[in-house]
Amino acid sequence: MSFYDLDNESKLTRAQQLVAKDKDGAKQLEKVSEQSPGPVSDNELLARSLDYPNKFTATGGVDETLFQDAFTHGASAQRLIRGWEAHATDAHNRFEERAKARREGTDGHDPNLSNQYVGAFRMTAGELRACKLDRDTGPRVRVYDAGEESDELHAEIIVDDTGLNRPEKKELRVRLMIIAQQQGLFVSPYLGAGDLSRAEGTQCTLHLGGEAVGQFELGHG
Amino acid sequence: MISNSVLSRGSTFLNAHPSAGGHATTTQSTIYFAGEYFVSTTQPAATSDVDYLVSPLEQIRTQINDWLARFGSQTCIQTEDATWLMAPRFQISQEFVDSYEPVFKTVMLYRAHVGNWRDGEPDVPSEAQKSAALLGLANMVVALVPAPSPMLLEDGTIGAYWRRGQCYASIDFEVDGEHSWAGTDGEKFRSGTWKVPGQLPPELVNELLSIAN
Repeated sequence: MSFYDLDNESKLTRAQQLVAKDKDGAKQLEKVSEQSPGPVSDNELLARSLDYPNKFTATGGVDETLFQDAFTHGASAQRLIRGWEAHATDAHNRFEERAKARREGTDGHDPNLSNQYVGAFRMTAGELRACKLDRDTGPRVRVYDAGEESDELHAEIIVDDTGLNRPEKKELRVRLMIIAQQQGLFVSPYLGAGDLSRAEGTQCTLHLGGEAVGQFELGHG
Repeated sequence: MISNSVLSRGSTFLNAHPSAGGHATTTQSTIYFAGEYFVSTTQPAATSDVDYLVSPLEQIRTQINDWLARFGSQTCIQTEDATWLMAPRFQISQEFVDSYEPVFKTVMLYRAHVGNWRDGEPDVPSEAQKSAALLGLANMVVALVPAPSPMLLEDGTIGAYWRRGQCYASIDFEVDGEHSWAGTDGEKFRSGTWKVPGQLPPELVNELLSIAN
């Protein structure tokens, strides 16, 4: 039985069920997916995609909802085991393929013509695992290997929000977003020049074709 | 219906954004606006008469300015040395209210479920969640807080955020009127609750000022 086999009838969220199955997070040190190359080490780099639309925000940008699914379903990330340079093309391609499938409706849902892959944020698993509130004595964030047949380097980020009130959960979301944007946004090579504002809206350092092009400060939004 | 309620106090951004009010005569960096907050008469299940098919922004602007006109003569400004001054009657400028147009529009679009909502994406906001956001935003307009950008949480709660580089602050407009907020300069993190009606938490005001200045 897989770590990811869960009770579909449970009223708990998927993230809560996984936390309940692994109360101390020890499973992060084990290979929990048959298709993965192994557990995710702390120094391993991960990529998380930024997509547009983020529900009608005209200029795109990034806010704390970037990681909100880590509190419920689990947030997907791409493992960059051999570093960004080795995996950048594959990561960009995978994220773009997913966006294309959404645009064309080949992912089992109605087409979403405006869906765009804007770029990738990257961070280490250790940075995510160290993310917690000042009052926390234990870790809050787990990173598990979650390889699939089509993507052996898939990883899942799960937040243990046990005992947190609403403002504390919110702060944790903000902390995760800040970690993600620290290294800047690695802009999708598929993003047209006319849509660059989607990336600029993040106000992060933008990496275009391997070069950082400065930090944008465009005011609020 | 949006209406006014108990007297409460909150900081304004008149000095940071003179175009927003343009009627403050003090030059101090911090002043306190003794005013009122928009709250629902039926909290926590807030409702609104805003008809987005007509012009939500115009309705909101009209309601805010009507409200200000009604209470303008009773409005005071308290400076830091506790001197009370009678504030002139003023209307919030059209320019300032218009700066909120994108966020108000987006709230309506969230609720109207315009676009292509997909499985796994946030819930469509309920009427109560939409109203909570409109009321929260209306309070922000009255407090002359610069217009935020909208965001939508998975459970349909509508939020708003401000960003300048690493500085970031946001609020979730909860239907029970206890709005969670968080802010950071990229290094230090703060969070809390803004209970409406009630003044904007000073910590949140500081976060917003650091973004605005």
